[in-house]
Amino acid sequence: MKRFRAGVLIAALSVSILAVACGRSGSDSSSDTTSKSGSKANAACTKEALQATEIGVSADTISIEVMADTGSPLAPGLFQANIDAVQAFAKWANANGGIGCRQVKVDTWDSKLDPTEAKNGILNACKNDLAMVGGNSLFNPDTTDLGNCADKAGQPVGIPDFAALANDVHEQCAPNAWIIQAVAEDCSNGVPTGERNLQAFKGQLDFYKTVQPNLKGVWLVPGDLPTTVQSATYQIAAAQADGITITDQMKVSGKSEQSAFTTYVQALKAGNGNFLYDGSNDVSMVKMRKEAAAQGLTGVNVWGCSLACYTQNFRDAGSAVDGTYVWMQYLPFEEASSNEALKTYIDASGGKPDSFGAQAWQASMAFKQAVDEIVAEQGANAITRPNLLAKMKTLTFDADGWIGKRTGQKVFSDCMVVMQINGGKFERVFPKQAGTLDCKPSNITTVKIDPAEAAKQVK
Amino acid sequence: MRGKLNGRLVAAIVVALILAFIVNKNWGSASFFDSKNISTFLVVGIALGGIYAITAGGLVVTYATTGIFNFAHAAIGCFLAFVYWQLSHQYHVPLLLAMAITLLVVAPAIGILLDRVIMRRLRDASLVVQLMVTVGLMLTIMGLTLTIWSPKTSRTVPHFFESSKGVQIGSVTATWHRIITVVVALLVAVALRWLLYRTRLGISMRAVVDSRSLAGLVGAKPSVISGASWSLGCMTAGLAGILIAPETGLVVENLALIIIVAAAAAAIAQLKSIPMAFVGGLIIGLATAFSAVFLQFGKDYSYASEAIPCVILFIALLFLPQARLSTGKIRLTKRTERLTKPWEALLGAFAIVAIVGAWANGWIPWFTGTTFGQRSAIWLGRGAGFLVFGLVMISLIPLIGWAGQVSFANFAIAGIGALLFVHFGGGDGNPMGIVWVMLVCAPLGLLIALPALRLKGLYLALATMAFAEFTDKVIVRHPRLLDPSNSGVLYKPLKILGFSISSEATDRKAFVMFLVITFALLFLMLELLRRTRWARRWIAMSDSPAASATIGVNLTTSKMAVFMLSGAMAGFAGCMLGLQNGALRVDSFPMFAGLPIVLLLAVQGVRYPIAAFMGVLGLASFPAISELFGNPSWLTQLALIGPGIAAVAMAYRPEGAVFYTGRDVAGWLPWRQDARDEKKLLQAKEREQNIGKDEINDLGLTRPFTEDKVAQLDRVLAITDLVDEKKMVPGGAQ
Repeated sequence: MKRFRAGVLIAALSVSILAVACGRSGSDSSSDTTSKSGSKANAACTKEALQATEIGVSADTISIEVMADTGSPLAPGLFQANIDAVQAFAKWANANGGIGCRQVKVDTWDSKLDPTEAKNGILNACKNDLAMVGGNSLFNPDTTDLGNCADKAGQPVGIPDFAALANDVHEQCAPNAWIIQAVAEDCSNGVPTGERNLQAFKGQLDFYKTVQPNLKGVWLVPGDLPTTVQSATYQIAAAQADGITITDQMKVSGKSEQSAFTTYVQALKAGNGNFLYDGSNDVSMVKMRKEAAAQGLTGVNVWGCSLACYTQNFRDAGSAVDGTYVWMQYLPFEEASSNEALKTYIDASGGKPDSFGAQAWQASMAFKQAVDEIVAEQGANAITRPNLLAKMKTLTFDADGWIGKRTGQKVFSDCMVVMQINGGKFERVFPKQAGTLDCKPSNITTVKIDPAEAAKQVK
Repeated sequence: MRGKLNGRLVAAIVVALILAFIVNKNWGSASFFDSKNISTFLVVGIALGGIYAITAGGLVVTYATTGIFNFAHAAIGCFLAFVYWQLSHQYHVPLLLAMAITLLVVAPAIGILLDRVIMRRLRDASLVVQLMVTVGLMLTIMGLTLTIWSPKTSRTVPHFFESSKGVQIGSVTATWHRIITVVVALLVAVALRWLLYRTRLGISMRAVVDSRSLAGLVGAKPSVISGASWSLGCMTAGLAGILIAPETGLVVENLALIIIVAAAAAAIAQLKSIPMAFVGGLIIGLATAFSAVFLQFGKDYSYASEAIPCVILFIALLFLPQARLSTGKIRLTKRTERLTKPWEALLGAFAIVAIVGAWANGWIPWFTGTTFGQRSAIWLGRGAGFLVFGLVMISLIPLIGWAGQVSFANFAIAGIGALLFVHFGGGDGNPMGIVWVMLVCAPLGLLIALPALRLKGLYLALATMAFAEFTDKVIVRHPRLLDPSNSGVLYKPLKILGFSISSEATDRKAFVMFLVITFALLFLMLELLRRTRWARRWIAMSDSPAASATIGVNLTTSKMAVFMLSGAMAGFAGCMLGLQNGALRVDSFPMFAGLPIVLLLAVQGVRYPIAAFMGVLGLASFPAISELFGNPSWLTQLALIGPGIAAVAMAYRPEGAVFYTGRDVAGWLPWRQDARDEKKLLQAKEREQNIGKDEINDLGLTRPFTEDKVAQLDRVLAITDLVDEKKMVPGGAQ
């Protein structure tokens, strides 16, 4: 019924993906916090008789819920990778001793691209599960119950939400949400409005400048919704503050016919542009590159795209997209041999990893680590929502080196890796050494803007 | 004549002035005298225009040769584009051969299948049934395509001569594929025009639409011609799909929903001139390109450019000639309705409240088990949602069911109502806001009625569709109506009689009860209204505007009244929709979201208030069944095509499920001797219709040769189509 939103969801999806992810790391990222806490937890399992300590926690099982948009008639199976990854993680964890001395049971909830079903999913988790893990729901604006549903003791503590991605600012800023994807907004005073500071990633822009000094060109923003346009403005502001000349800020939609992309090509030609960044998605970038080729555009040296282009669709586009840069904040799938956690995920995905599944797996790892640490520190019968909520605020996590190390709940990572596609294959271009991330404070900047006002500049 | 011309001239001047004002107000920084801008505008515009023209041409040819506006036209083209991709890229069939197989074998086969199974039965159906069946067909084909070709796999159809450089025009290159598309669109327009007006087949196709019997008398074979028409329609759809897919990507939504733009281009052609459809496509393509190159709409109207096709559609409809009062086409194909007695209506209203109330309170054991019981707050929330859609549905009963004014705009009005409610009291929990919203939405309905005063039937439906699209792209996106920065919960719980009513888990039971009581009151009101002079006027107006005007019914007043009533009811539904959603987004009310509501109501029976409640049950049934079976994936796939199939089934049950079920069930009620008598009569008629060859000997001897008997004889002797016959109807109507 409410699901006829193809373009809209693609736009929102794009914003969700391009919003940066994970946490701090270093080139020497090889910590194994998850594994260590798991070992300590296993030792604690035999110390006391296991009890049912919380909703979703029995003597032998822990129930978690993964909520994602999968069953919408508009986009069947959209975030199925999130569901699959959490289920695969549970299977892997159960085969390796479980979590918190118990076997993991996964409830799945289809939020159907529907805010009402997303709220229902939270209610369901509140009633049946210890926590929500690995979720990805595009439309989740009402997180009231996430923050105040009752625990086993009847206290309105809410439910922990270890999300893979949170697209709605209300979920991003929810006090009980711990999200793999970073939050650009300052949520310290609730959901922010008006002019404010936002954190933006600029490491990839600095890299582009090494390829082509004096970058000048067009920035495309996902334009199907005013909110997606606004969400992109802080990145444009960061690029401008970084010395990049943005001649045109233009809305783009993957729904548009390729002919419509002629306008962007003309804008690049008119402005003698040498740079284009597409913050939308793989579909629009493929059309953009094809149209640029059809129009004989040769002056662009840097074609930049967000994580949204790190897809099989983009690989399948072949030589049309050769040379496009894609940046991400975790070690790429091509380097499975460099990281055990990454390899485990790729094996569990049947050799078909994707970015949503990867982030859901990472969120599952964070949940496991948090529970195992509670067990190691307080015993196997200390697994409660309040304890888990307290733990998520101080959790130090790096997915065993797969992502940058992060400490705390709402953290903005300063780590990245830049990939380039050629001949249908992504290859690392920065940093050069496989299995490393480039992590430095200068990769992040802060811009002060009112996104609603800044959106006026977007054509 | 002169007066009409002057009227149109005035309208043209007014529209031109408005457009000039809009262009002047929103002119961007691009210079019109810059050759780069001009060449971009022309090349992009003509390329887009070619895409729209080729789809619009197919839409017009289908309408001209079948008399049915086929919402599924672009969806069929989409399906055929996937078939073409499958053949050429998966089975490695050479491109031209793949195209030939797709267009000359698969497309005609689909056309003949559609004709035989569905379309023949729509010939005498009401407009709403015709439209809804094709909408259902569109959903079915889209679902089928998604099921066969998973959207998670990328597929591309390369442009023709992709590696060759195109033609340079100024600073822009016109690719060979786009040139081919425009040329093919033009050739198709010319060829179809020639086919329809210069060949025996084409003339027969048009003749069959005008009068099957007359066409048959002069030697045409209506059933064969009808199949050929649908085959031709599918071939044009397939050609459009194959040519458009490289531009839009092989994506179901992109390909199937281009129908909106094509409808606008077809409206410029008044759904009859194929060359004008080509011109219409170019106008829309050029207008879109013009806006992209030269205009920069302010932040309050930043999505106005997306509304260009629907504005053009609206303007095109504005210049259509005044609808004439049709005469000589009155067919009593429906039985005379027995009016529901007031006490029966009251009983029905109580039953509705009792059923929902028992469910909401967990008194129905089957619905309080481990699944439903554990998730009671969730199901109450869903139940509230279904009832809200029921409220939108019931607002359509007097408008479509009684007055025959096919409108797709009520969901859009509900959307406006939901947003207005935020400002009129919903944001503070003030129930009086509902009244204010209804008072605003009633004249809003009137605004939509303005085109209804001079348009009717399909054109009115398209006008309301344009309004719904305009609402989605412009009205609800205005920041003053809905601030996109404020994406959280917009409403506070309503306090009514001590109950707190909202979408919060603790308030949901009270919300459901409030909704069902108001629903039951509206049901009762409509059942009682049905007995009044107003309802009789609307029904008379629907059956025969000419006859009702002759007996003194003021058609203008009657239309305005029913649109206002429906608008106010939709406004109320909108308030509840907002309250039920809590948070709203600018894309919460897309035009296409309104279609399934009309579709569901039509499936149940658009003339009967109880159909809205059956629609609510229908909405609830799918997730309930899914939950009972543990949400199996096959059910998700079924959900893709199920609603469409239900709508397509209307071709066999045009009066709606409520009518046929009610006819059978009413006989069980002790006081409905009339229903039992009618059923006996119907059975007798059916027995006669099923007469065998060995039984025809006594025709003309013991049984008279009536018109029905002749038709019966024709059928038994297999000398005409089953569906060519006049329907056998209960005697009450005769």
